[in-house]
This record gives sequence, C-alpha cells and structure tokens, in this order.
Amino acid sequence: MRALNQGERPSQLELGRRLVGEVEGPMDPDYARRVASVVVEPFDWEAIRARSERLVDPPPPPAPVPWWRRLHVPVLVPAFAAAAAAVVLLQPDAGNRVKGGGADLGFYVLRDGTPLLGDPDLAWPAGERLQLNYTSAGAVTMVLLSVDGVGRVSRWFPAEGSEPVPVVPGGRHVLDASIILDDAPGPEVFVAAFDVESADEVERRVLEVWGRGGLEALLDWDGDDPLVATLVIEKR
Amino acid sequence: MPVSEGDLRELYVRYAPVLHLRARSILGTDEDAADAVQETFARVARSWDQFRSEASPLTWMYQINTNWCLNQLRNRRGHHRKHEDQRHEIAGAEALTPSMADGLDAERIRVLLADADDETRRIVIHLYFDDLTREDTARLVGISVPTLRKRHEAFLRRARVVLGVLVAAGLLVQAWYGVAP
Repeated sequence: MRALNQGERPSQLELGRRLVGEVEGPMDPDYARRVASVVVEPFDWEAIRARSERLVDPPPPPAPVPWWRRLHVPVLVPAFAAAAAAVVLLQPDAGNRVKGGGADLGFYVLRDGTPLLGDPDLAWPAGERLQLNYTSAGAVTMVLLSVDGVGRVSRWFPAEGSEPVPVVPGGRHVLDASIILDDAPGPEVFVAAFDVESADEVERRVLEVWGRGGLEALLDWDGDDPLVATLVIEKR
Repeated sequence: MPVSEGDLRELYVRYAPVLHLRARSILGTDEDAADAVQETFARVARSWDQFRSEASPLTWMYQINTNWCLNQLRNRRGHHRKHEDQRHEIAGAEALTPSMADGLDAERIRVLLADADDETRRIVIHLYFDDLTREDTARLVGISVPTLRKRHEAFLRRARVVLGVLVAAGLLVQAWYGVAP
C-alpha cells in the first residue's frame, strides 16, 4: 500500500499519456511492462460501429434561466426559493444529519443562454454570468453569502431578511437565480451554510473567519464543517 | 464527420492497452475490461467531432471509461453485499492506496464502492485506481478540493464502519467454530 499521491509521482493517467505520446516525460518501466502485458481484443470495426449506433445520447444540459430569475451583483433579485423559510437551530454537531459526505457548491457559466460546467481553476471576467448549484447533505435550509477580495460580504440567499431559504435535501440542484460577476477586487468566495439559524448569524461567522485568516480560513471552515460549502471564483 | 475505420483502428492500437489495464484495475477482470474498452471506443466513434478537438484524448477516454466502470460497479451492488471475506480495516485517518498489483486491496475498495454515491465513486476511482492527486481529481470531477476532502473523508468513515463490522463478524465466526472464516 502507498499513501495517496501528493504530486510526488506521476499518476497512472499521466503515465498513460506519456506512453501513448500525448506528453513527454520519463516512463515508469513497471507501468510500461504492465501495459505491454495486456492482451486486448482484436479491433472489430463492425462491432464498435454497431455498438456506437445503439448508444443513447446524454440528456441535454439544463435549460437557460429566464431573465426574471437572474441576479445581478451587487443587487440581487429575489427568486422563488426565498418564498418560505423555516428557522432551524444551528447544529454544533450535525454530523448525524449528513447524507453522502457533506454539502458543496458548484457552478455553471451561462454563455449565450447555454450552461457550461464551470471550472474553478479558471479566472472569470467581470460580467460573466454564473449559475450556482448545491448539494445540501440532507439539510433543508440554506444561507448563501459571498466575500470579495477586500472582505466585503454580499448576501444572496435570503435576498431580504435573515431567515434561511428552503433547499432540496437530496442530490444536486441548481439555484433559481444567476449571478453576474462584478469587478470588485480579488476572488469572490461564495459561502453556503446549511441548516443554520439566520443569515445574520452566518454573516457574523463569515466575517469572523475571514478576519482570522482570509480565504484559507474560509476553506478550512468548509473542510471542517460538513454543512458549510465554499466556492472560490477567481476574477480577472 | 463520421470517424473512418482507419482512424479508429489507429486510436485503438494506441490507446486500448492503456484503457484495458485501467479498467481491469477498477473492475477486476479482463472480460469486464474488454467490455469497457469496447464501450469507450463506441463513444469515441459516436462523438468523433468532439473527440478530435480534445487536448488530451486519453483524459477524455478516461472519463468515458470511468462512467462505464461506475455503471458496472453499480450493477454489482447486490453481489458485493454478499462478500464477507474482507477482514482488514483501513487504518488511521490517512488514506492508503492499493498497489495496482494488489488484488485484495483493489477488491476491498470495489466492495466499499458498491454503496457510495456516483460522485464519491468517481473520486475514489481517481484517487485510488488512477493515483491522481486530490487537486487533479477535483478538477476532473468538477468540484473544489475542500468538497473532495469531505467526500473522501466520508467514504473513509463509512469504510471503517463497514470493515469494522466485517472484522467483528469474522471474529465471531472464529470464536464459534475455532477457525478463521
């Protein structure tokens, strides 16, 4: 057994790419030997072609968001999701409510009305329209805030008041609004806190964590609390 | 434009052995691996125009291959529930990764994958079978590294519980019959 790869050795994918000539780099003789020992089935054009014709196309991407559901930074247009909310006490140890390993946030980038899967490793320009999605780890309410590079907090859900908004507890769901990135400095860090008492409480906590260690502290909070999720959008 | 037989044959010769080795490490048998390779190339043929624009054809084929392997693992779910010969716990908070040549460890991971959700399965396959870093895995799965850590830690917590139960069951059988199960 080996420890997880921390980047000190090439992955199997990297070795594969080197072996087929996609990238250059030293080859691991053991890997090359194992690939060489593989006996693949002979190439069968007809079988592959017949199989490809039986394939079912993947489902289409989510439909574009209508204009009345879009949000703009720094002004958020409230969406349907904020209609009714339940006040749930903050769970200091909510691990027993978690299903499937913790909440998280993802995003799509809307280009010409078509949602494309967002890449958190890329930097996005001001004016880019994002649509966030979430898994709530079994939680039923959420508060969504963001912090820009100078520590200024914007409150997204709820758009008004302090009551958390209801969310769907199972699976991944797209928020009923899109966000247009502004030109505020630094990365925009979205923080979703699930099953919390109030947005005020979350905002206080976000400011406290941010003040203690900035972005890294927020990411640590995310890592430590299964009912907190962060999403870092780098801006350019 | 549809793919030609010559183009696909050339790709097959170049990529099939790598894909077969990878699929076999995940699924455990040459038969299943061969099926995974056929499926991958059927998808390549189906999406030829998209495929041709990929910067890394192998990465693209890995994703297709992963989906197929996940489906096969899901289909095995009932079968794997019956396995009772996994008697070793994953020790400690730091994950251990199976050597690709270690069939027992790979099989243990497959059993644990049976009850995981698809995103977790994808993470575990990339971390354990592909030996990718957390950062590369997060990029491929399309999630943040903190999210990946949470998913992975939840998987390990569950693994310890499941394997702990199996250890206890094994010890009980051993106590009753005086032999190792």
